[in-house]
Amino acid sequence: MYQPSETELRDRLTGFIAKQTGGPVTVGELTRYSVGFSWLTYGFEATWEEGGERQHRQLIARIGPPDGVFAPYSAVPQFVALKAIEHSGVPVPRVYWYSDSHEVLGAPFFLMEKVEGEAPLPWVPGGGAAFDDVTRAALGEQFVAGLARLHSFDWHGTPAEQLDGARDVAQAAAAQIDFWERYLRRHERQPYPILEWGLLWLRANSPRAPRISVIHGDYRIGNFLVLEGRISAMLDWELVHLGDPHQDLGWMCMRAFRGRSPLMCHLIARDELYRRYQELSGIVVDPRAVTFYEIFGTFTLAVMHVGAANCFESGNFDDLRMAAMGAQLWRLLAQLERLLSGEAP
Amino acid sequence: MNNSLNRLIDGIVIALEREIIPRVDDAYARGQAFAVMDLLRNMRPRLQWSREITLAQVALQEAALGRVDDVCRGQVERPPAYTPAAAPSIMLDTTELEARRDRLEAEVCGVLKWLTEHRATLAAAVANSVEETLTNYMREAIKRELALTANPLFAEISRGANA
Repeated sequence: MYQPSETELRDRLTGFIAKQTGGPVTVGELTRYSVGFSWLTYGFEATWEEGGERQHRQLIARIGPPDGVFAPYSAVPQFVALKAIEHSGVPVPRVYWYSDSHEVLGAPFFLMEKVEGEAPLPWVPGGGAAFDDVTRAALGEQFVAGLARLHSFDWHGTPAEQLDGARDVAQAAAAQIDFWERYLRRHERQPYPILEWGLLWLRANSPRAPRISVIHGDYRIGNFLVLEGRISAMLDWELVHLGDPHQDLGWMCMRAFRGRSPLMCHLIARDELYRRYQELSGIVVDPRAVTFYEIFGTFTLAVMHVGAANCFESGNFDDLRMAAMGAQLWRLLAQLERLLSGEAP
Repeated sequence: MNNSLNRLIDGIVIALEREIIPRVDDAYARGQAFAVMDLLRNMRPRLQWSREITLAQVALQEAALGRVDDVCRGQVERPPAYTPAAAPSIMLDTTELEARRDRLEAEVCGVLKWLTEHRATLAAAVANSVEETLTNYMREAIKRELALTANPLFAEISRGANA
C-alpha cells in the first residue's frame, strides 16, 4: 500500500519545488484531507523565490496512489485541462506543476493552489433542502454557467487537445461505454446481470453528440467549493475527457446526487437547468440524450463501486472507505434497474 | 456483500492498528479499540457469510433459468443451454455454493445477451416472457440485497464527523 511518511513526503515535495523554481524552498507541515475517494489530498504552505520575489502560497498536492480505485493514474489529464481553462471563466484552482514519474513521490501527482471554501455534500441529513433559497439560486446559476463555459470552450490548439476521449460526434458515447466496460472487466469478481443489461441497453441506445467538448466527468454537488455564497472552485477533474456535453448534464441530474430532492444536485429544477444551460452555452439540449447519460452515469457509478470493492479485496489498498462503497453497490443497481425498466429519472 | 469476510476483518484490524489507535488520545478509548482488534481476530476463523442468503439466491437463479428454458422449449432460436445442477445446492460447501451462484449469474447474463441479439426473430410472446422472467429475477435479487444493506454513512465518511 502507498503510505509514505509525512516527513518523507515533505522532503520530497521540497526537493521537487526547488527544482521547478531553481531556488531554496520551504515547505510547511502537511495536512491530509479526508475528501475524495480516489486521489490522496494534502495541503501545505510553501515559500520560494521566483524572479527575485518571495512567493508564499497555500498549495494542495493531489497524489494518485498506485493501487487506488482508478489506478494506474496520470496527472496529465487534470493538469492540462485545468491549465487550458484557467482563463475560461470556469472557476478552477491554478495549477503549478505535475509529474507522472514515480521517482519523485512514488506516484503521479500535481500541485495546485489551495482555494478557500467548503464543499457542500449531496447527502443531506433527513432528506431536507441543502441550501436556503437565496444561496441556492446564486449557486445554481453559477453552477450552470460554469458548465456552459466549459462546454463551449474551444479546446482546439490548447493543452486540452491532449485529453483522451472522442473526436467524432458519432463515437462519443461508444468511446465512453468501451472505457467503462474495460474498467468493469478489470474489476468484476463475479458477474452482475443488471450491469450486463445496462451495457446492452447503452450500446443499443447511444445518441450522437451535438459537438465535442471538454467534459468534467464528475460535475456535481460535492465537487465544488463555496465561499461566501459563491462557488470558489470546481474540483475533482480526474475523469476529464473530450466527449458529449450531455454527459455532464446527465451526471448532474442523477438521483445519487439529489436523493429525494426535485432539484438537480439540490440546486436547480430540471427544466430550468436545460433552459439556462442552453441560453448560456448555445448548445441545444436533447432531453433524450440527457436521459441516456443519466442511465450511463448510474451504470458507471455502479461500476466504480465494483472497482472500489475490488481494490480493497486485492489486498494492496487498505482504505476501508473502498469496502464501504462496495457495500452500497446494490443501491445503485436498484436505481439502474428502475431506469432500464423505463421509470422516469 | 462484495468483499470477502476475511478481507473485511483484516482491513478493519489494519485500520484500527495503523490509522485509528495512533491518533486516539484517550487511553481508555485506545483500550477499547485494541479489544475490538482482539475480538475480530478471534471471530475471523469462526465466521462466514450466511449460507442461507446464498442458497436463497441460487434457488431464485435456478427458478428463473428453468422458466426461461420452459418458455423457449420448441423454439427455433433457443438461449444458451441450461442444465440444472445434479447435486442439490444444500450439499455444497460455501466455496462451491458461491461458485455455483456466480456460474448461474453468468448464465443469466448469457440469456440477457441472447435475448438482445435475437429479439427481432423471436415471437413477441416468447421474448416478452423471457424478459419478464429475467427482470423479475433481478428485481427480487435487488429487493433481498437492499433488505440487508444499512443506510450509507457517506456524509460522515467524507467529513470525518457526524452529519
